[in-house]
Amino acid sequence: MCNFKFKSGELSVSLQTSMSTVKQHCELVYKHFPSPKETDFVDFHVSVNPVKGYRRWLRPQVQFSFDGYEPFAPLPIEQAPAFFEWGLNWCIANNTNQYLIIHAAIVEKNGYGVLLPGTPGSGKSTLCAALVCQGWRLLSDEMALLSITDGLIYPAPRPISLKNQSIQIIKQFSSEAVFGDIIPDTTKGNIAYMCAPKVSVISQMIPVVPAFIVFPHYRANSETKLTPLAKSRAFMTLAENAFNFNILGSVGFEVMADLIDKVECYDFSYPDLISALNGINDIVAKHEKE
Amino acid sequence: MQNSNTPLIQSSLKFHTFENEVAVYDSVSGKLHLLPFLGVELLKLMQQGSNMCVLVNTIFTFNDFDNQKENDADIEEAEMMVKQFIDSYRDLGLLD
Repeated sequence: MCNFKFKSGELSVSLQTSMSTVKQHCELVYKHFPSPKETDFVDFHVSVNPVKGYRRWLRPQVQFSFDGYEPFAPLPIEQAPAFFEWGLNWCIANNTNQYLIIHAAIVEKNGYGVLLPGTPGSGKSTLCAALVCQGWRLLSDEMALLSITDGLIYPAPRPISLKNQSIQIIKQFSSEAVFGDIIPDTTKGNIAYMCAPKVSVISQMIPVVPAFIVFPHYRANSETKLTPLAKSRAFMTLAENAFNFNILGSVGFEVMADLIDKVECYDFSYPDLISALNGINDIVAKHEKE
Repeated sequence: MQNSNTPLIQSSLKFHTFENEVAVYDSVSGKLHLLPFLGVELLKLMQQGSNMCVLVNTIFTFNDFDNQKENDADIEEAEMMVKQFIDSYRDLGLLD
């Protein structure tokens, strides 16, 4: 049995697994992440192990558990590394209510935090991966952790999950991007995890001031279009994309309102990755000139 | 409408005003609404126990209809608008 520990921002994780695929996945994609000290509080004790019994021989499956609780049905054993990542996402989304957790990628350049909330198919993770390959700092590709005490966004960098064609697009875009093995035939299709750059991990304790919220929409054969978005509309959409908005109640409402008041909000349609990158870089460059 | 008949707005409501709209959050039901600015002004007046005359005047002020408010038909229309606001807000659970 292997016990793998790492820190993602302020969150500490302890994983127990007997599976070599999960161990290899973690050793690759969490290579740069520090381990918590022996005396540190561990936020998430999780395990990923094969299901016992006859299943072991017939159709082997894997189970994820958090503090001994199994929140999901088992998955095919080939999907064990992805199951760990999804399970950890679930743990964070359901147990870190010191933050308002928004379903969005969050990246930073020159002190400007850019939130990229996105529905599936919007290209959020692909865009996030490409920005990170260009030198933007990765805070998260999945969950923006907005502190309810100071309104800053706290990093929790993890490997970036890419699906299907996006894997090849990013591999072609950057020869320096490091990927884990492709995990085929998941409910999301083929997926692969891109390592978070070392520089993002080194600065993972530094929060960022949110400056822009950009709702990306990938539309093939369309024109690149950046449209200012009414703050009221951005507020409603972001609230729908917050995992624990109702758990935090009035506090969540006030934190979200403060966030929207201090950022610029845009709708952003783009036909390809290069146009998307230019558009996001232009937003920051224009702001820096002003 | 007499003060005693003014519907009470839920005490659990939180407001945040944007340019032309107001986000209203009910911390008991967990529901979030985006309402027109005028509608929320009416809600707040109801909270203060304002009568129909005040509510109707508010509509005239917002719509810049000051010169028309002597007209019975206009007053009737504004009263109807207030009643519609009350009905829809009751449906949303914002009023008792």
